[in-house]
Amino acid sequence: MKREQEKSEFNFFGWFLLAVGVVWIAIGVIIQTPLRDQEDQLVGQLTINLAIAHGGIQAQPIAVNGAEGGVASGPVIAHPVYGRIKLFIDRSVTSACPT
Amino acid sequence: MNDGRKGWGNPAQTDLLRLKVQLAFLFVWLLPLGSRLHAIPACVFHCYACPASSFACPIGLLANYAALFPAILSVTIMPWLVLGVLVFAGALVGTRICGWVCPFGLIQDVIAKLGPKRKIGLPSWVGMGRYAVLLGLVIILPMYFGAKGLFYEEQPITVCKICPAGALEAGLPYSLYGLVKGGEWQMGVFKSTLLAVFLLVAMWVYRPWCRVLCPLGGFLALLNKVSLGRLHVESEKCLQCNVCLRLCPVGIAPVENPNSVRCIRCLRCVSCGVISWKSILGTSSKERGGGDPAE
Repeated sequence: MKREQEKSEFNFFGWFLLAVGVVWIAIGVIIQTPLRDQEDQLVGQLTINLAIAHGGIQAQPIAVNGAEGGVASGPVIAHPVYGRIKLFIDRSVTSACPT
Repeated sequence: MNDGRKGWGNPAQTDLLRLKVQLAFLFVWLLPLGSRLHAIPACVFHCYACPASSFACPIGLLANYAALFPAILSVTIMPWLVLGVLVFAGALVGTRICGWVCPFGLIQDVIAKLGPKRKIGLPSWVGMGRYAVLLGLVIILPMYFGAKGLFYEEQPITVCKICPAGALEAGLPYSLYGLVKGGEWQMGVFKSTLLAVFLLVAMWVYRPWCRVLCPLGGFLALLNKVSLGRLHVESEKCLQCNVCLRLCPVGIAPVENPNSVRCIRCLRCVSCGVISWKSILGTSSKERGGGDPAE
């Protein structure tokens, strides 16, 4: 019978992956996370331009940073593309709305 | 099995503790944080369109990033944060995230209580479906359609479109809210059917999404073998009583393969005393189980 015995040796690969995770998180935070006031400002602008379709409010065309058109619904996610913010239109959810 | 044992020596006590931890984590994934942290990915499967979600779904984010192909190859656009969170969580505890932290796992645990106690078993090969979803719907197809210029939301098939978490955690509350406001049922026919089928199956099969289709669980399971937190078997103590096999809700033999990719690390098997949970902090006596199995 195959049995897994306790490994007394240092779990190098586990610690290595943990360190990799920490480094990637740090990179993501440094180069991809918008500053809080920057994010608030962008979300605020988006909020002005759109009406969220959920909850029975009629969806309206929007422009993200003046570049994208479309019908908005779903979560607003900070994103490095499209001027560091992008409105993801999640059809899995918007199948719940008329859009 | 001596059910008079306290703590981890008793599977019922372990289940209760696990439920408390799962409920406690709801305060992390749901309100009161609300939807203010959608720029940060979670390490659990939880639709970020849920009206009360705090963090972003890592699978939804990964698929969205993949749809940016070929731009995603740029260093500044690579999904560092998502990958970092997933690798960190997986390297730390592996699929213990699934068993103890994931809100969608909790939902399935609750639904399972509504069904018959004896669940329908699944063959081991169905777990490969998780990797088909991970590779196909989260990585390859979004990249393929993204290379053709289609945004994620415009792509004909995505993981979000077949995701029961989206239907249950976002579509259902919004539809119910619409009904309460005097409107119509807003969820589409496909999503409504998917939700109904999922609820039915989850009553008869324990954690069907986690075991068959969850791409996040599949990824975390890959790290089970190398994670710092892991199940440890003291095989010299094993009496081959198969108690751990009977306790395991996903039908694996923990004493033979304690860090299996199919394991959700619910730690019910720890009750027998032969298997223990070993973390970076060492093996807690509470997590060691019921002591000498020969007792």
